[in-house]
Amino acid sequence: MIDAIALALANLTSPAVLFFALGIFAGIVRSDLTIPQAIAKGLALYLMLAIGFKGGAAVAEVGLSTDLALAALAGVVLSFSLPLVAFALLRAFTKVDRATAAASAAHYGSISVVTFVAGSEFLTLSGLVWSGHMVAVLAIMETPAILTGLWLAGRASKGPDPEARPELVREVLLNGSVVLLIGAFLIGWASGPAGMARLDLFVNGLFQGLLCLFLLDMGLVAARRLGGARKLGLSGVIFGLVMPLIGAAAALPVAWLIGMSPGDAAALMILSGSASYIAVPAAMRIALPEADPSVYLTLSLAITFPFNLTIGIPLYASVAQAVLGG
Amino acid sequence: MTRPIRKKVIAVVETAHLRRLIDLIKSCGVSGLTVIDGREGSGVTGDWVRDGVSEAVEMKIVHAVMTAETAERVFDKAAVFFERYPGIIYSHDVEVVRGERF
Repeated sequence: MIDAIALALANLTSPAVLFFALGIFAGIVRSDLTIPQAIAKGLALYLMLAIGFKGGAAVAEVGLSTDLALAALAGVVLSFSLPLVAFALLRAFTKVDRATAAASAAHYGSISVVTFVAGSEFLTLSGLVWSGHMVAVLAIMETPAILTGLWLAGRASKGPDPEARPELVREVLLNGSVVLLIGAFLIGWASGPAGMARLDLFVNGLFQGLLCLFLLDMGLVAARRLGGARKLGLSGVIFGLVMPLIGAAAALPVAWLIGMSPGDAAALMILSGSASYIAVPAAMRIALPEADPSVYLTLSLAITFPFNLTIGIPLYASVAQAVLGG
Repeated sequence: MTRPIRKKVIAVVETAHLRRLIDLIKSCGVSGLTVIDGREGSGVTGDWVRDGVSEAVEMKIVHAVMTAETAERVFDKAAVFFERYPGIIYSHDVEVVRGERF
């Protein structure tokens, strides 16, 4: 218990979280602080490249095992099934229409790369070892939830236009974040420890500082979206806080079942507890234009992301450590 | 000096639907257009701003110059398009040089 509190405090006083809080503060008080869009986009690309490369290089070092296949299978199952829970809760406790509930639910089955980046960094700093192949699981979990979301929307939607289908398939399978993550993972894997030695300064040395700068921007973005919370109502806000806990809790028995280490289990919990705000919104805008993006973007960006960054990540790490640690 | 009059059609559309709108405009016989980024604004569904995170819901502005007959065809198709997808389309007369290009 004391360890868990110490972990939570260490997280809350980490530079990354404090810079995120600074961004939120600056956004709320309407400071003119902004991160130029091109820099923010560059930082997002850097984080995906670094996490992908590090994951691939780690796999090259320890080699492939059945653990990767099992972890990938667990990720796929969670990504497919979590939207069902999210959809049921949204329909039961909030006033959002079916299409918006389905689109929002898809966000909660999918993952947030930045939450994983921050979470994996937290795990590393806390001494919880996680496997590089969890990066592949991260990429794999982006997509299944989108399919569940579309199925849930059912007759509430006319479905994507026939001309939009190729675009939807391209967006789902080849969106920039998936291509960069998988690509960097494969490059890290192919170049192995020698490649890592060359890029060490870039993907490790600069990582914390650039993560802080990116999270400062995320704070500004989240603050801009906070106004949407009024539209969600109290039940919507509660959903945004409870759903990540449900997602993470669902991942724990799955992780136990396949014999994951505490570090990998914590990583899977972070993935399951996070909500997408890049890949899924893009797919949902194409496939379900009638769903209200202000609902799902407010939920994932302004409520769930800050919750996970501040409370969720250390909580998941503590629970994984306590349950599977020994 | 009298210059040829053409229609300038302007559409504001979400990035997620931009490609299909461009295809729609081109399918009406328009040969040239320009797309620029929208910075921020507001509409019937609320405020929007270009934040660089969720690009799909950011807005793009499409400019195209064409004859009045072509603009009519674009508007007929766009009326169906914008029934489902968020955005607006409007036009006004403009003077051009080298009118044969439009």
